[in-house]
Amino acid sequence: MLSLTHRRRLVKGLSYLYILVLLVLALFPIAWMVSSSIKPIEDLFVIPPQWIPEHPTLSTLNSVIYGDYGRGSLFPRYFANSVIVTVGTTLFCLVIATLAAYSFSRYPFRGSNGLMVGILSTQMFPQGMLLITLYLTFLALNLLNTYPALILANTTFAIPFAIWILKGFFDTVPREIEDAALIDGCGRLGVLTRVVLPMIAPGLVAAGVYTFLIAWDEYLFAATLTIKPEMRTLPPGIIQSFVGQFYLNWPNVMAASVLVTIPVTVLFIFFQKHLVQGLTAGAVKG
Amino acid sequence: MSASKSISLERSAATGKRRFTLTNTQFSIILLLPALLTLAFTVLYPLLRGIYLSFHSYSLVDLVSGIQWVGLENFKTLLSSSAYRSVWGTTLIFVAGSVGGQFVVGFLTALVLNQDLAQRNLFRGLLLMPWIVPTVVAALLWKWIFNQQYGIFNYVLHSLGLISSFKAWIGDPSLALFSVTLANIWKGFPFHMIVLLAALQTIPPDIIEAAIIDGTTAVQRFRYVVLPYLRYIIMIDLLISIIWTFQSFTTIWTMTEGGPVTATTTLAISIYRTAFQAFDIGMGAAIGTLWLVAMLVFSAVFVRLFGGTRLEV
Repeated sequence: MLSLTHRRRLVKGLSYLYILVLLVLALFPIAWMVSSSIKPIEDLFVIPPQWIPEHPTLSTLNSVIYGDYGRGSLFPRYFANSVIVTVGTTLFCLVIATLAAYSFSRYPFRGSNGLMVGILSTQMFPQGMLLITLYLTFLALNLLNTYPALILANTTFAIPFAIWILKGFFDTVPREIEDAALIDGCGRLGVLTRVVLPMIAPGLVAAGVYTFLIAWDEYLFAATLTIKPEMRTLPPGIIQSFVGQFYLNWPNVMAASVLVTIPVTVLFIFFQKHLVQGLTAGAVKG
Repeated sequence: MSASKSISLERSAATGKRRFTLTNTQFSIILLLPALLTLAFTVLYPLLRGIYLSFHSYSLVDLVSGIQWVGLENFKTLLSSSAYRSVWGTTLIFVAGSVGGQFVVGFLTALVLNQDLAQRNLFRGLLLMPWIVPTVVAALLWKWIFNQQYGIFNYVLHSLGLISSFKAWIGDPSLALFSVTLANIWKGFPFHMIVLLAALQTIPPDIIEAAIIDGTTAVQRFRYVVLPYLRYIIMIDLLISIIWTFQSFTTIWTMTEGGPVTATTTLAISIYRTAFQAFDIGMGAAIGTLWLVAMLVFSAVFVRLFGGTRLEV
């Protein structure tokens, strides 16, 4: 039988070992993607694989961005579309979700908990089934291949989760502060915009970053509601450009993947704390 | 709240006029209106229309017939079809494998990270990376890793002596479901890690200390202190991820398009193929309606079994 200190030391050693193994498993695929994106094509298809590129080159990244063999690239266009749709979704959902979350947190009425459960349970509705009507409706309204169609479609999953995150933050604001502001003659809307919102700024950031991430990620709606190549966002755009039925342009796929991952990684590095706080605010009430 | 209510009903002292004021409930509903109207258009109406369409025959290929009432015909066709039953089987394996794997790895990692380790926050941040990588990218990346000829999965396993020949992880119908599930576990475990780690940190240290003084073993503390304390959050975490994994489309579609043949065709893939590739809108809607009913029943039973109380959000 080991002594207590020895056992503690053993547990700690095993913990670091576990983390180390998991870090390799979690990060190695990403490192492999980066490594694959900067290899000349002849170094990509070799066994044993070249873990570290022997002839690093930016030519694949270049051809993804600027096109090759005299053909232009739609990649910059996909990128711009993704930025517009993602930022649009984020702003639209943030405003709407903030108002709704405040209502649920501060002015509950009979049935408002039920309504909130109802809004959250929309996550259960099969997206493909919703997409049928969204597609037919946007077709009838002549809104296929437009940004508003994609932004509206994205609200289906973005609004409920943003409400959930934000309500968690509103719940942490002490009521006395609002009551004092009300007595001071601030209207209810003024209390929200001038007193409460500044206090939950981290929550707004968390919900905003989260909405940005899932909108940037969205594939199914974008692939279905846009047919014109120049209106595609990055996820369906990459698939359309580089993934054929029988052939995959692996060098370009890896290079494009790196480029798509960079913006969300930068966002994550800056707002990691907010995002972690946000993901747990709704679920963990401590 | 009582203070605000009395203010809203009070006459303005300065002017003597009764101010136009809303009751708190009216104010509350006005705040909710933008969200409710948007979701009514993007979720509620599509849902109801989808249920309506599931009782109809409606093919975008056959525009002459238009929408025709067929009663329960679509459902009868589905329930008597062995292909439909196998889609359910595939879905359940995919969901159980994904959520099970993600939860076990995520929970274990959360428990490890909940100790007093150097660089804990750095580890947590780095381990979140798979979750940050866009789904399409993760799927393409794993497809490349699983590549039969040049993929590193085969190379590494072969070098370690775990396989004798390079396998078609994506192309072999008996392996494809395993491969997409593995990719999905990689992508999804950090979410569980984050949520459960945050939950672990809310456990008051004195409860654990008291249990240690009582001479409990670590396993006993986990079983009788930690698990009961985390019961609600574990329920929410599992419920959300089960629902999301049922919805999971992008990973499978990008890696296999539901194939080879139908080896990785889950419900989400099946709806898409039926409604948007075969243009059989009525049948696609029927698949969705049955899936929805199943989710509603499952969630109600799950919450009842787990929580015992009503869902409080």
